[in-house]
Amino acid sequence: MDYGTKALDKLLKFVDKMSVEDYKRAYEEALKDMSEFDSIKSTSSYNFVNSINIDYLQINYSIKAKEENSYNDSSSNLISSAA
Amino acid sequence: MRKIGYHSTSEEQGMKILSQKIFFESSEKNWLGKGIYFWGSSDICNGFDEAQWWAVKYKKFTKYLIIEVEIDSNNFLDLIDNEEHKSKFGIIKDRFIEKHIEAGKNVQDFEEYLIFKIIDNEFDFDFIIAFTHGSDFRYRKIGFNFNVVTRPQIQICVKKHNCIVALKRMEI
Repeated sequence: MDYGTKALDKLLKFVDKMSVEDYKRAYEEALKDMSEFDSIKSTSSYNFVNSINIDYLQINYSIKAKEENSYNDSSSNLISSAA
Repeated sequence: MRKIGYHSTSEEQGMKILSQKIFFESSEKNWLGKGIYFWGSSDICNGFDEAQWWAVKYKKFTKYLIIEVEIDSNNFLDLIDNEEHKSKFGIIKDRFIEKHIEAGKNVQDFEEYLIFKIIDNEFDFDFIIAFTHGSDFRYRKIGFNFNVVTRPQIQICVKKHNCIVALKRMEI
């Protein structure tokens, strides 16, 4: 059996024995690390481009949500009218 | 297993790496944990092109180098071609997600990086190789799930410097 397969078998045992408290602690530490990722903090221009993309997605998402709401509103009006 | 990887960095840093044959970014943390990151190649992506894209588009280096390395080790985790590694990693990920839910957290907030952080603490891998795509990490936080990957990338995270057996400067 190769090293990677053996390690993964051990990791499976590790996670099965992990307590919820240990998980919470490990998760918080992981989040802290991720805030320091080189690819995230990178250059200001990267962050700028990234924020534009997210803003764009959020705007589209809100428009879609509004359209769905107005559709639901009109359909409920129709149901009310029919009733 | 032998793999070829490409690393882009500033010209100044690159010259140091080439003269001393040591990568200095070994404490860098990213998706696959702590290590030196290289772009890999396959039939559907080109590591050299990705290294160039990283240097120019993300880092905005005006002067940069691309270094090709040859990596050789038997202590690896291969999440691309090794079916056993991929299958076991999938089971482990599911178990971690179960723990995440038991801890009262939302499944959408699960972070795969946690697994690689534990791998770094508990095991002795020389390198990890995996397909990645950055968009998942950035967009799922706001509720989007993407099924189409338009820019697959292979990342090789080298955790032990001594598995780099050769390096050379590439013509840009």
